[in-house]
Amino acid sequence: MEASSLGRLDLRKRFKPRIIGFLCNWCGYAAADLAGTMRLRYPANIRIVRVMCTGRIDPAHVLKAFKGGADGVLIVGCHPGDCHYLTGNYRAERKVAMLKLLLKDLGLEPDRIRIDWASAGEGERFARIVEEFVRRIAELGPSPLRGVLVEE
Amino acid sequence: MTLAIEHLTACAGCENAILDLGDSLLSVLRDVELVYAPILMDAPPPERVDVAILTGAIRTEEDLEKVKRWRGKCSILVAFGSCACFGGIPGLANLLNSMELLKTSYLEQLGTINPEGEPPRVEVPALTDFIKPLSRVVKVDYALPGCPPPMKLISKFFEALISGEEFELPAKSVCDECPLNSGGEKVIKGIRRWVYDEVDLSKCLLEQGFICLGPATRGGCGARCIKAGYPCRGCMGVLEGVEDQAAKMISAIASATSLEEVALEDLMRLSDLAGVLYRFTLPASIFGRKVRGARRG
Repeated sequence: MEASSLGRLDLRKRFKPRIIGFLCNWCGYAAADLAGTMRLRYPANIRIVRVMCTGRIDPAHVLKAFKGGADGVLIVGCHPGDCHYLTGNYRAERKVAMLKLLLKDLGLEPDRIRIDWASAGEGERFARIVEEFVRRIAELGPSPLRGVLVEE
Repeated sequence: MTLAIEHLTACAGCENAILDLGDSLLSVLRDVELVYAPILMDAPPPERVDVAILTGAIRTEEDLEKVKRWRGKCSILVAFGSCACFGGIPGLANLLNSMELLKTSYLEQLGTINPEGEPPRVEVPALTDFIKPLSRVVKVDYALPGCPPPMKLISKFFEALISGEEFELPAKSVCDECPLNSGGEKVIKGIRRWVYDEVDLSKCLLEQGFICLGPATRGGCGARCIKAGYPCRGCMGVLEGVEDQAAKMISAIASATSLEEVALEDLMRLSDLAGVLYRFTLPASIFGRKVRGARRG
């Protein structure tokens, strides 16, 4: 392996992704809570914000998380059909689909945002989602926004 | 009261809008003395004025210099038009940095003949890295958005200026003034494209599936584009208390699409979201510009 790519790998190893998680009160957050009660191990890179419903998440919240230096944004809500407010999670899914397009236009990898589902009983699933997402963000590397927009 | 109208990187449309006031401009000019306006008349720049109206975007170092100089010369500074308020159409250039812009214009663009790959040699003011709204550079006393600002708003502004009353922009959305707004809940049943699909000019354009920025855009224009048979493109800027026009519009589309009739894939096929949803406001948005490959230095 060439020296330069080795150097990059080394940098990647030291990189600790900063993830903002928006979790819905009824499923995502309950799943995270369960994961904690079950003493499951999952990466500590995620900072959790509890919202009443994923449908409440404004795309501006996500953009601001990135501007503030997040490397990835994870949204976890109720499984399709299980939303406490009937359709909030479907609305969130649509916002995320369009946000991914917007992020791409603005020079950010669409994979830096992910929406997934975990019911209140799925602590393991939640832990797995976080693990997968952190791994993906670690592959992508630090957000190109880190410290760039803040100075202006 | 003395007034100066200075242009930055602009198209002169704002100056035309002021001229369009017609007769009422004459009554304004009874109380306001226009001392400097290079686009409209020939007069040397004054030492001091009461009011300076600035039109256009900050695109060059010269524009930046002008804005700072006028701030020092006037008591009331007005950001006039969408370019001055949010960056406007030129603000879309923030999807590239200044080096990429020059490369595109002088080397790559179709129709460019430049076999030696020479950069332009004429001495002109350098481009700033990115376009910024006036309010991020100096204190702005009044902002009059619009491309160009609607005549009614300009009149109201001059009236307030002369009488000393407070001037405030309308806080409601374009939908609020739109003749096609039935007032009921909006349901989008399919995404359609303006150039290809047939349009019914008696029904809400957004409900028909055309991307109309009315719900995310400040009113005050009387929904003039929609009345002319064209969807709102968002020139009045984002609604009061909202930070980002694209974010707001994405929310609006997500909440209005019918879950049965519009598939997630239909939304994923929307193209050029930054160009469409930030058409006039990219420099004033949360990111302000494209990020990758756009670092300084």
